[in-house]
Amino acid sequence: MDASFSDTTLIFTFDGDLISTNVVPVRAELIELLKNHPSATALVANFTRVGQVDSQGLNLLIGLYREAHLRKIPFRIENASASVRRLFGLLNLNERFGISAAA
Amino acid sequence: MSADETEMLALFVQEASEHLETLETDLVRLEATPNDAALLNRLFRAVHSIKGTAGFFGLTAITDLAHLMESVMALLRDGRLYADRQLINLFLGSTDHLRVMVGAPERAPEVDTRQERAALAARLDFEAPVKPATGALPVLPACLRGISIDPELVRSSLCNGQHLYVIELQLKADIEAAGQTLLDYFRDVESLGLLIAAATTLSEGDLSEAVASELTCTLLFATAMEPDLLQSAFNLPADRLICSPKAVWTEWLATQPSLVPAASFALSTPPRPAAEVTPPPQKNHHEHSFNCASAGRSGLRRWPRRPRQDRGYRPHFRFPARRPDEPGRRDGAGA
Repeated sequence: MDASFSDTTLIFTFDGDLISTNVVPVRAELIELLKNHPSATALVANFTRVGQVDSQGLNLLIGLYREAHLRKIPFRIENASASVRRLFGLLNLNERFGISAAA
Repeated sequence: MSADETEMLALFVQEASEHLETLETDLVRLEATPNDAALLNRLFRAVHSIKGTAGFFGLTAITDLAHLMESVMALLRDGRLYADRQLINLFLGSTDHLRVMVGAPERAPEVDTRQERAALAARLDFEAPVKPATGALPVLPACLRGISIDPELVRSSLCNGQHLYVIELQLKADIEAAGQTLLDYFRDVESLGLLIAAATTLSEGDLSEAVASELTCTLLFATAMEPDLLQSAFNLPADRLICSPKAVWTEWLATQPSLVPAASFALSTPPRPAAEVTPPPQKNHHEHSFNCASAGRSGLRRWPRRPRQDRGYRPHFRFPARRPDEPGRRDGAGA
């Protein structure tokens, strides 16, 4: 996972799908990143390389959303593919994740 | 009668007696909660089972009475009739007659049920106006409160004679454990009807606890499919797939300011043209399939296209993962 810190916005770019087989190490990386950037004023998940999300991936994103909520900072997902946006839409999570269209 | 037939008849008597117990108990409960969808479904299923098995044995006296009860219960379940005390007493009286007939099937034709059958038939001929439960207006199921629901979709579904179901899905246990992706599963769901609204219950805990917990999604789903068929398709227990009484939604629609009053659309109203609820065409394939469902499509198209051996009340129809060579497979990144 790539991460960048720009203008106090912490941006995570996931390497691939957020599914059960990789979600645990991704979570560990995220926890570490968040610990190292306590002053972030926004969290952004870049979904450019994400094609698929399962329930564990959803849990991870909900965890991120909660983390942002606890810090009182915004969280949003960017560059989500049509299928991922559709899934979030079906589950009524689009608004919560501040979904924006793929670039 | 052969020994086998005698044994089977004894089994029928035992099973029907259990259903009659359910009927009696639930009819008493119905008086207190006349809009309880789960209760109405259970009543319907009990009498439906008695009718079906009696028919198998050619016990027409039992079948005839049970059939009338079932038909009236269907009106109750669909919110087209209200379970007043008089009707509940009629059901209880009919249940007593069924008990007598089931207890001695060979003498069932001797039981005089003309009065009950006439009274039940009269209820079928005249569907009384829907009334809410005494002292309380029907309210939406708790799990749907606070969710944005498009009243136009609800109204068009009711006008099209569809049932409205509240379905509780556990994403991991119900879908992924069966080997399906979430998106494929929802595609199959939408092939059966119209997904009107959904809400996902956010898992508890922070990021360090995330991942393992179950996610629950509540759906408001409209379809022409009967509850037992839909339950079979979803393979969910009855308490997680509830056929919501239409009366509840009729009342709810009456509270929606932008719509005509609910009373102005009787269930006999001709279906509105699909174009009235069809959103503008979308660009991508997935959104197109969603909007086909949103246009009020019956959702049953895929059902008859399946191979004969795959139809019916079989666990197979638990939205199995598609094979690569299966006709109608939709490719694309399946989330």
